[in-house]
Amino acid sequence: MRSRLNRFAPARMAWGLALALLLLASRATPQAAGPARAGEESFKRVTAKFVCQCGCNYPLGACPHQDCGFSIPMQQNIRAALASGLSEQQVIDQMVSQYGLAVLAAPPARGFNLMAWIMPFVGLLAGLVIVRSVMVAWRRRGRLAPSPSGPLAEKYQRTIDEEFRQLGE
Amino acid sequence: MEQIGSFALLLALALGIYSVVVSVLGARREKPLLQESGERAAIAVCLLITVAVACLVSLLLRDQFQVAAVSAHSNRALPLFYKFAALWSGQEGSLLFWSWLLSVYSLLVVVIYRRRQEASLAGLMPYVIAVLMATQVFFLLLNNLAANPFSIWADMSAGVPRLFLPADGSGLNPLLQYPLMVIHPPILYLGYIGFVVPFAFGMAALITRQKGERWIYTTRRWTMVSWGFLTCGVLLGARWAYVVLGWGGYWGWDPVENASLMPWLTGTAYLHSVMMQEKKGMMKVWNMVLVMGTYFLCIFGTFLTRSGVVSSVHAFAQSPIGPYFATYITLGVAFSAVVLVTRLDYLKSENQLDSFLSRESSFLFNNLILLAACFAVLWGTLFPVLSEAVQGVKITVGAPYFNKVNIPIGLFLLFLTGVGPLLAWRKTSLESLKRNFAWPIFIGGVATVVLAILGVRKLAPLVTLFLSVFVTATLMAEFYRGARVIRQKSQLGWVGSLVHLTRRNTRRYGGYIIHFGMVLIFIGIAGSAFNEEKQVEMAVGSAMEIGGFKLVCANIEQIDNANYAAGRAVIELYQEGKLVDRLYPERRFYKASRQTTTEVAIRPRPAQDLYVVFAGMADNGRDIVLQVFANPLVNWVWMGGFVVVLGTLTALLPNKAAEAIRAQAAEQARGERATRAESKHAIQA
Repeated sequence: MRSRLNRFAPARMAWGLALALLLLASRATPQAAGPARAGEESFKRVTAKFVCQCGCNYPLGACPHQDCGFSIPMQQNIRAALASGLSEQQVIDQMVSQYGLAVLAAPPARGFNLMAWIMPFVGLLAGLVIVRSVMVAWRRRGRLAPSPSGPLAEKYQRTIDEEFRQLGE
Repeated sequence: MEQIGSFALLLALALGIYSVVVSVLGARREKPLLQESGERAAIAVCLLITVAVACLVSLLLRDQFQVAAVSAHSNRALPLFYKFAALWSGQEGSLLFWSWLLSVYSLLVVVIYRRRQEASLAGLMPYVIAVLMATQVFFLLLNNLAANPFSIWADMSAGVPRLFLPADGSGLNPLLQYPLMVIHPPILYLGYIGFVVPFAFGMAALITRQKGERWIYTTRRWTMVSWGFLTCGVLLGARWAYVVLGWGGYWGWDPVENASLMPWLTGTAYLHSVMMQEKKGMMKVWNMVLVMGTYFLCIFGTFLTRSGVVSSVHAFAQSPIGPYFATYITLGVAFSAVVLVTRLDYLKSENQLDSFLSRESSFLFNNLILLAACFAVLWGTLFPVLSEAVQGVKITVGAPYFNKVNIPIGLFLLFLTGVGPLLAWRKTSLESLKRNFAWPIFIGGVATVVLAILGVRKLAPLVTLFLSVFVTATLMAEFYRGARVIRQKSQLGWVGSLVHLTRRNTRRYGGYIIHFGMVLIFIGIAGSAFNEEKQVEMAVGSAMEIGGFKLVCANIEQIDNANYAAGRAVIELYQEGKLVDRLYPERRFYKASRQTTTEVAIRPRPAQDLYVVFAGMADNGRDIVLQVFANPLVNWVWMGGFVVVLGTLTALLPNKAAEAIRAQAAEQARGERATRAESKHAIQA
């Protein structure tokens, strides 16, 4: 009885911990940025939405070309726009109208571009359906598979029974 | 020298075509001499491409700038070390290098298997050679027609072509002048190209309708080695991006990075599902699809890097080789599909499942998740091309997309890494599942709550860390249980028991070590959620703080040598008022290529990297702009890479149990031979 309790205690405690974790996570709030860093944080959030168009394909602030003719002026434009009092969304809209949709690091989730977002999960879902049907079919085949019979099977069964009997003794 | 190289490539192409033709003819007409001729032609192809590579290396080392590939990627002031690496830094040289590595793989296959008398292999070999040589012919066509590495400059000013000899070369791309770049491409190529071998054996088995799993056993090590090289190549590429590109990260979901990840994902799926075929004769069609998919994704990755279809910091210049690749991939996929479909009857397998809760089910889910990740990466990589074709609007699919789509998929995969080993083949009872799961979940939960109390409140890193601890606990439990049994039966200590256990089933325990390496990599990736970054203008003597350190700009120095001129900042690092280190970030100007780069200064520690970039000069012309990153846990990614390599090497070691069985079989065969000889002798007497 004692060993049984010990065996299942961790399972119950694990559920308790998971619940506590969920509560902690649900209460999680992002740390408030200090006033001195507010401008910089806003700049980082906006630049993270864009990708450099010099050919490197890296995020705007991560272009590896040190004298990049695209990322450096665009970052300056973003700083200037934020300094002029525009909201982050307004700056993003302004940059998209200025440089085109290609400058966004991820396609907007609307129209045809919605396909980019949903297709991986549609693929995963389709895969799940296929795997489920495959498993069901295989399981059915497993049930229908004839159990071994004949003299050889009987001989092995006798050996197994004999060994179990000896073990028991 | 360039004429010798050119001629060698042309002859290699002719012999490659000859090898394909005579190998197939030899197999169809059952002419051993033709088959042998095909094998010898494959050896000759390797020798000829080796001559071509030696010629190009010689031209690079001797600054023969009349050759376009030399002048475009080297210069007189380039250190010898990098002149050698210039071989694979350009389009033409790297394709030649590809060809050469493939020919070496083919040579190894011929040398290892030509003397084997096993009927099953003897029947396969001509087709294996034909498939290897068909791939070789494709690359030799590129080497000869589309990207000849021995093209020379011609001066057309006088109306007739005259040899033009530039005074110096344009130099090697500064981003490539880094020691890791000398080993990263060869290792990545060894991974890409290595998958040609299992593909060749798989196709040969299909074409000949060979029964059984012989080709799977034969190619197991080739697959493991290729997968190991590909893993190393991908991680070395990430390390190069981290240390050289200076943006503080190591994976930007760039199309070329994605191109190397996709065959890795399908190759990993294949390594898992192939166990189902070996152990239970299941998933034969699926394994064929995976081995074909991995091969074509390797070719596709090479195509993406070189065709100019997508833009990338890693990509080679646009060139006319795109249509060649597109044609080869289309024809190859069509041919493989036809061969597969026409032989589906031979691939019929005994697919049956005893229970939904079994190792077999976990492998199915593992394959599903790996393939879903591969599809997500492929879809995101190609969506801009699709969007432009459909909407006429160019869009970008970058890191935010890939992170959002792949994080849940990756976490589910990590979960399966922990669950898989706990499930038994055929059937797992709920009782044993509870017993095996309880402690790992409990330990994972405790670790996560502790982290949450310590202030980690972001959900994705918390889930990653929970799963990482859970998987580690399951793996440790597996090692512990096995070692305990051995320890009870023998006089060995814990370490001895663990070594003995691992040697008994190197594949299984090597696999667990690889899983642990992946856990470390996941922890490293989770750490990136807590990266800090600051960009500041600093005068000599000024200071800034980040990641618990105070950084003081102590000096700004100038460096000048034949290859580059540089500005170097001396940054003193203080922790709790004490000087703990000095860092030297540089900003270089390479004279030959006239390009500016940064040399990142990194203080690597397991808990946190301090990553300092000399971003440029401030507007006042005196102060410097420093970009500083505090990257927690990033080193766990590289440590995980080492562990994965260790696990791969372990899995490649021969099993003690298998060795004993082989020795027993050999002894039995010797005994049977001796008995037969005795009987024969007695009859004759």
